[in-house]
Amino acid sequence: MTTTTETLRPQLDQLQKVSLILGLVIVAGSAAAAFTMGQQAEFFQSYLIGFFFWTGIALSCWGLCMLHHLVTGRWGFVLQRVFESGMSTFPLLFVLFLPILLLGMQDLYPWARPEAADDPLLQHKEAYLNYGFFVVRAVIYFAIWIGVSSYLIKWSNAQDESGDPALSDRLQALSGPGMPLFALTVTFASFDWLMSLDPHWFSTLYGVMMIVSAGGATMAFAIIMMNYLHKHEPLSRFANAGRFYEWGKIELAFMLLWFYMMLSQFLIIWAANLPEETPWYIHRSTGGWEIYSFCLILLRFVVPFCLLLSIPRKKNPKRLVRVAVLILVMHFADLFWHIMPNFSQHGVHIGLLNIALPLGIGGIWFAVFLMRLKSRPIIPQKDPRFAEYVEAT
Amino acid sequence: MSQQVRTIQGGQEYTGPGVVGPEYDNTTVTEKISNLVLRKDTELSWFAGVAIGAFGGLILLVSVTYLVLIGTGIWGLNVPVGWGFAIINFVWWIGIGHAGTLISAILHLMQQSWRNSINRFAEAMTIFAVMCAGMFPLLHVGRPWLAYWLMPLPNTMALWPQWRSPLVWDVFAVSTYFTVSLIFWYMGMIPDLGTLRDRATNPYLRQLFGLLSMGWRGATSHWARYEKAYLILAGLSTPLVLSVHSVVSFDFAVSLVPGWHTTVFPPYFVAGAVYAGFAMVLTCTIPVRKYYGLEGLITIRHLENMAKVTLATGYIVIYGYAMEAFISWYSASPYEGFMMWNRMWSGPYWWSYWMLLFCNAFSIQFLWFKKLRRSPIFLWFLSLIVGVGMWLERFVIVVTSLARDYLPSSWDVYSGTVWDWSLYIGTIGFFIMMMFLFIRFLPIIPMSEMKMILPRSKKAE
Repeated sequence: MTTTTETLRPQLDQLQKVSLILGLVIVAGSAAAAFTMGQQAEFFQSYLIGFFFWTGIALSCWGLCMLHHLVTGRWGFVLQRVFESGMSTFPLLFVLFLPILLLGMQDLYPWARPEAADDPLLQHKEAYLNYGFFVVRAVIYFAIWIGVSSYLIKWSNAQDESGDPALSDRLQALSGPGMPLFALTVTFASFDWLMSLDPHWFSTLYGVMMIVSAGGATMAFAIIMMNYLHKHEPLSRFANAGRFYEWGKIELAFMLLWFYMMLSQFLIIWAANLPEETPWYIHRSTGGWEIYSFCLILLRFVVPFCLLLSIPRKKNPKRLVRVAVLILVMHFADLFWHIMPNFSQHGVHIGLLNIALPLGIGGIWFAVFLMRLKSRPIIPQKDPRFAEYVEAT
Repeated sequence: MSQQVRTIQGGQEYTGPGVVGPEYDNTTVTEKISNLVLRKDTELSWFAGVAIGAFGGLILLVSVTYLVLIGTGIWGLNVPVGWGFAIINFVWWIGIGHAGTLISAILHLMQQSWRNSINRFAEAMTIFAVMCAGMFPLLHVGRPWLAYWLMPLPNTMALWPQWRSPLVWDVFAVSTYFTVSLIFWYMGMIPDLGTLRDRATNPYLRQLFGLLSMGWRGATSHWARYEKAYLILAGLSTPLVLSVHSVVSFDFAVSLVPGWHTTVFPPYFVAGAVYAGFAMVLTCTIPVRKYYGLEGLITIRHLENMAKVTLATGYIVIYGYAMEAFISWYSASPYEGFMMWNRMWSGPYWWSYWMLLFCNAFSIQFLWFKKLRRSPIFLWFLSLIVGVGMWLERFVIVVTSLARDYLPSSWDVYSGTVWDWSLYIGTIGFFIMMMFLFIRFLPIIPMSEMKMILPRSKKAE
């Protein structure tokens, strides 16, 4: 039980290598293709989807890890190392953000273009939506994410050595104030990186919606990882049907919350019918997007929700993981729906780049994730709370 | 006489690792809780409490009578402030009920067994709070005897409710909420009512509890069905925690009024409701546990957990304030910007916004300290401040937004009249009266559920 599941070790090494190589090749290939063919804008649009997808997962790993430290439910101990590995990718994500920051701003954000000077509304927002402050904020977000998460990982590692119960208290004490920091930074990061793609539009719910949708995707990702790992020692002893049942229930709750946020925002904007707010939905309900939106609700909420209602399905990892895959794919579709109508308002175009680039970024991200995951014990076995948990189950 | 009640058991603060004090086992739990109901003598202070509540109830009766005789003109409503105290108090009361549902349903589904000693109490609170809440919109319609028009009933005038109005959804949301909460509360009480039937010595009382316990014998098949029904009801109640207050928030958010129309309202209202509700559970349980010596059942750990939930939901509320303030500027809408400036600084009610921030944003920061979270007296005072803060929040939303709407020529200042206040105070009195009656006549802590957590609590010792 020194590091991760010994029998899986060669497999994990292999997977890490393949995903890193594939990731690098795809990202480099699409960059080369897009820039030589003059499709720089399309490149950055797809890049943003991929970047935000994996950043969202890393962020939710961080949030869920802190939630676990705060409430220490039975669901969390086995997932803790997945979450910690996820949040240890923030430095990589910062590097991955640099291309947007350095090259992609004008292609993505209308407020960053010179024409913004003629727009009185954007003039008003200039104090917030300007390049300098945008960079400063991004640096602040990443500093907070890397700072807090590295302490959480450090103390958790220290506990693997010493088993000191005081470290559990310290983890909890940091997670308390960590939660408001999480909510605020994720909210403003979604305002900056996604909401300001349509700089005229605004919604006070946007941050919460992003937190909830990434949370659901992250639980799906964790379920997929656990389905892969749980057949081997030592996880086979701890990740049993009861745990999958709990994760399925959490996933179900995230499904409901996601739909609740989507419905609330839509209903409020639709009912008031204000010209400042409705364009965002008009872009998503014309020119083919109406069918896309309908399918999104159907496959991101209705179908997984109905599937997750079944108790036997939640207890069976093999059946649960299929729903998790669907949710993860639909989370991508959800981000596509958030980002792309800002650019192609006259119809849905799903290009090769849109799919390949997020996968490529995912390959790089996943390789770093695996590297972190296998470098440490897969279970926080010396956490005194874990001993209580083992006794209780 | 009250001394007698207190000396049955307990009165000691318990700070150990379990969730039940060491003096309790299967026998003493039953004795302690059922004796609160079955004891023959009633302390004078209980009568005093009921009398205070009943006096408030009388004020309510007078206010309602006068209102029905004269009309809503006796309130301080004007144009443009057409929604005043009635809506503020409706939202305030209905929010308070949410803690009960959260504790009984969501914490049950999450297997948080510490909730077992406070859920009955919180559920009772929910029911009485929804009763108080329901009165306000009914009276606000002006002719409460025609309130059934809100229902989609076929009638000769071919009147039909406006389905696009969240006010109509409210009718269904609130009545469903009340029904499910009542069934949940009553059904959860059946095993305890059976216990009371078996322990009662008075034949009439035995008859009464026998009737109420619906033939409960504690058979295995009874328990199996009970557990299943409880789980289903918990599942049904869980969406209600979200839906009721979301619909209430839609009352405001679907409109065009700056300060009302904002997308964050549904989750922010729900969090505010749970926040206010937990504060109210603290307000009620802290004196009761002290007075009846229940410190071993509702322990410091329970209070601390409730304080933590209060802090967490309080932070969601603060998040809501932050989003409103930021987006009012970011939107670059002159109306949104004016609304926020008016609310904070230039308007006639600027003080209410800062008092609200003091109550809901500043005061809860003390809950970061473990010592204060574990101090009943501090928590009790803080819970009162939170109660005031949440009332002010609704005041800020309802009144400051309407008083300065789109038409400057119709701007007016609103304040509640004597009758506004008397109706509000009357409902508080009614609530207090109901709580006192509940404490005396029904088991305030679920005996059967306490016994479920006893073994594990003993083990933790």
